[in-house]
Amino acid sequence: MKKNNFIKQFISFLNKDDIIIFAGKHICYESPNYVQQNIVCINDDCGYGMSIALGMAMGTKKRVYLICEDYYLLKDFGSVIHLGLSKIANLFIVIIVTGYYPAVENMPTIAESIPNIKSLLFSTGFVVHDYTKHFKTQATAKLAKGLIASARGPLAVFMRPDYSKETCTCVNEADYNIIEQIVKLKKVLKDESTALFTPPLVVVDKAEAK
Amino acid sequence: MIKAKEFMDYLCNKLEFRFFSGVPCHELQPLYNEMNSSTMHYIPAVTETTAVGIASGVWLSNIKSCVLMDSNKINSIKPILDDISFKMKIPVLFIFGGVCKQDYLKTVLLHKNYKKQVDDIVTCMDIERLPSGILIKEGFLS
Repeated sequence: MKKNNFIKQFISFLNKDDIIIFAGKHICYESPNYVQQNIVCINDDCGYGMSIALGMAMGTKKRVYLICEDYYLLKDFGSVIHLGLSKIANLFIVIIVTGYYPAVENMPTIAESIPNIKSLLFSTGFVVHDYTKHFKTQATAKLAKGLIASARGPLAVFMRPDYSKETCTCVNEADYNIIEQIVKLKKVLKDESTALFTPPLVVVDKAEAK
Repeated sequence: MIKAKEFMDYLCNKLEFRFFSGVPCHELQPLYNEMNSSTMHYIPAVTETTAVGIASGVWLSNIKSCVLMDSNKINSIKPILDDISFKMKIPVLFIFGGVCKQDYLKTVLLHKNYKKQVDDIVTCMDIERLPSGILIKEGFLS
């Protein structure tokens, strides 16, 4: 299955309350193609999205999915260790292993050279799933639906798309408004209770209303 | 000299900052000693950028958050401030140990009347939706 089809299919298996974070420039530029209510795009290529996902998962009971490519995972591995050690049950990262930097054609990442990247993540506390075979076709993908729905975090999902050198169709400019996304997300995340600890009496919006 | 417990209570109870992340800094040692897990939560981070990322994510979940770090490392957070905090308008409060400051981040050096200073910077931060910082020099907290 192609990368874009995989993301579409994967998102279709999630609940409408789940939070989806697209991390990395190219995935963010493609994000308008995907229809889901709670999407946030972290448009950077430095790995900041991972620690932001961790912070969001700490503050809510909703499930937080971070979707990124392998190069993005390697950018800030210190944060990845935090994600695993956190033992937070509502945090999931989906790693699309293309093996290439999307901005530079034919320039490989070191993900393929690491003898066992899955065991590296497992050692930090992640449960690791590989859905490459499940997502070969749309028919087989449905087998993974139950697994995705019942999974507990911190979970790392690996997926190798069929055409790893798939070119991005819209790489010039992002077609979304990040501030709108943030405002919408903050409304969605206004939980009465959080996964991390008893929430403060006053949330940020009260201070903004003054 | 200000009592660290009093300062921490002011931040957690009056201003309602309940989440802290950061990289340990020896100027802020008195603050670490007075941390109370019943009113706040602290996550030690491996790097300053990770701390800012975690605090930003927590802010997105509607919880006021703070980053504790050494002011000498202020340059290491410039990329994440540019890419995330300023662009996405995430007002995280920075508490810096030391007196080193930079133009790109609004900071004040705390003195005896610290409550007004902190109030002002937090109000300004909430209105402008930009991160801001307070500087605590060595020996200010006991």
